[in-house]
Amino acid sequence: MKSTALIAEDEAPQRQALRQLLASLWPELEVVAECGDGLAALTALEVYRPRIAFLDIRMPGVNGLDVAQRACQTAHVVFTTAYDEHAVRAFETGAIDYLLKPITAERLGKSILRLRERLTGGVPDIAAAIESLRQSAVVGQRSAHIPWITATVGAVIKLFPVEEILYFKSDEKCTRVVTRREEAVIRTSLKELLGALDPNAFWQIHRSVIVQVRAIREVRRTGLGSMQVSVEGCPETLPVSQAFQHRFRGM
Amino acid sequence: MSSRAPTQVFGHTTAGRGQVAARRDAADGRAARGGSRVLTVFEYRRYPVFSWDWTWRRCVLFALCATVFSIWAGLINGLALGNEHAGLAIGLRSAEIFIVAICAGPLAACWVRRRHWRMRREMIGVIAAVMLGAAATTASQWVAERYANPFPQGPETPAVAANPLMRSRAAIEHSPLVLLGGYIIFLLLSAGLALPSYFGEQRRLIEEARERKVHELQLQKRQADLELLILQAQIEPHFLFNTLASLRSLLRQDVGRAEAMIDALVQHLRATIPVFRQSTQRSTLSEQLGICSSYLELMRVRLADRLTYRIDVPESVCCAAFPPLILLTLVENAVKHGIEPKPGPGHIRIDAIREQRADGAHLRVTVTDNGAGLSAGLGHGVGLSNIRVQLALKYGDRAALSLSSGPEAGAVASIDIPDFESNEADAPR
Repeated sequence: MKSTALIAEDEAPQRQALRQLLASLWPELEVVAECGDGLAALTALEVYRPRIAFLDIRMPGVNGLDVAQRACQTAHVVFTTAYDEHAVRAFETGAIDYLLKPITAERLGKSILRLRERLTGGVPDIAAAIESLRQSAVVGQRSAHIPWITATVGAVIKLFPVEEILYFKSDEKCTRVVTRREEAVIRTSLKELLGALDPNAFWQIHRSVIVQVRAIREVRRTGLGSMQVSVEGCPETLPVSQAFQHRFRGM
Repeated sequence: MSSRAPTQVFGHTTAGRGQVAARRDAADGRAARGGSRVLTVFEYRRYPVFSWDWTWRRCVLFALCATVFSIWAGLINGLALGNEHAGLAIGLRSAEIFIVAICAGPLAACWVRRRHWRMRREMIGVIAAVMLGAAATTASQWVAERYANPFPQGPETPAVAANPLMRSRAAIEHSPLVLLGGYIIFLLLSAGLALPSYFGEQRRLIEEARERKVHELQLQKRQADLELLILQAQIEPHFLFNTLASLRSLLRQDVGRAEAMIDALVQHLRATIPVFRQSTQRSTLSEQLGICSSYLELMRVRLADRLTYRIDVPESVCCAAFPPLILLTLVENAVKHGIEPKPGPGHIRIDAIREQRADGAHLRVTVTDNGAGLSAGLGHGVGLSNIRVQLALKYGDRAALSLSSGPEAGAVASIDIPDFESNEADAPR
């Protein structure tokens, strides 16, 4: 059976260089598809069923890790990356093969030797390793608390720094984001927001309300032990439910 | 920190608040309109303690009160004794002592403040002046008693000498304890009561100087953070190694392109690195656009024409002042989150316009891409919030950063800052 390979790399010069290098080091290998983005790579995987997939991690459309999840069931995956700290650390411990860019003939030669050995056997199960890589890639990008959110105003998605947000109020389907100047909508739940916002700056005061502490203008008792919060520059008053009233006592 | 002239101190104590200064203007305005400067004596507390404005107003106001009181005391005593001369003497004496008590200390302290000594020296000087004022009052009381006493005691009369009660009263009146008590009362009357507010003011001055310092340091730290961030972005391993990998590939495939890429890389490094070394220098829009265009050129070669770009900025705004490293962050964002993740060709456009608004000229620079666009949700990147803080620290609420999805696709990022190009004196604070 002839060895087939797929190359997914968004930068054309590098894609071409890898193909030329493979052609000189492993002439029998047939490169069946060259893809410039993740979506094309997914399609090519279905169509050509290559034995080997060289996947760049950062790619347009669908990234290399996501493509690998699909590819690893039928193909031997070799990642290529210029530098991804988390990924490289994971590669070094795991069974996943990878090539650091710029790719040298010597290093590619070693990979080819390994691949040739493995091609005789079955495809190793690296799905779990790839999944943990994906997780660490996502976590690695995150800061402790989100500095801004993107929300929809009419047909436009806009960026709102969290400092400008007076409060979040959720109803059945979505969450309203209210700033001094305008109002926007996100689909993120209050629970998820609470986990991402700075707990000192934003307080939940009701099942459906998170308010920015600095925006609170006054807290008023409205008989029978209920409380209301009014917010700077905003006509709407916000309810404070029993469970959260302790935050305002003794202030 | 050294103290400053009263008016300057004024400016400083109210710096950042501006309320008191505004009130002073209002007071002056009222005085000018009403034609009666005297009415402003009631507002003496609005001025820094022991400044000339404070001192004369307070002296006039308190002297008026003392005069009224003295007239009343003279009348009562005169009527009670049935002796108008004695009443007049009591009134005059009371007026003299009170007016000296009220004016001597503050005037001396005011003189001290106008020396513009260092803070500690001035504080000691002010205390000494107030104490001296009280001493002067005691002396004046003694003089008054001696020469203007309605009941001259003179050398002890036989009657007094014979009456032990009278003798002991005279002894008490001249005992050091009573003199000290009188001195303390004069001390309080003269300006002792104003001393706490004087020290409070000094403390506030110190605190404000400290706050200003903290603000300055914060600004510096932010600037340094941003520079570091950009620096890291530029020599971010991913960027550098990918650029070198592309370059290596191009060497065999297309020497011309490889050359173009080296040129762009050199230009980019040359454009960015000196900026870090001389970040105190005035940075202009054209300089920042240059940095952006070398970066875009580099990315264009790397992405093999998947990226096209256009910089559309009129000549007239090119030399406008523009904060360093901010525009590049927006362009990098457009490439990284707009063009790179989206399959197929992408375009980036940079425009700049100058606008006249009510609060002066503004410069608006927009980076538009037709890439992957925004998706609603949580934002984790710190680059944009860094820009926002940087703009806020530099321009207050006169600058704005906005990012929204484009009309059809992609994203539009724009920075709006006051344009100080035409008016250098109105420099950013």
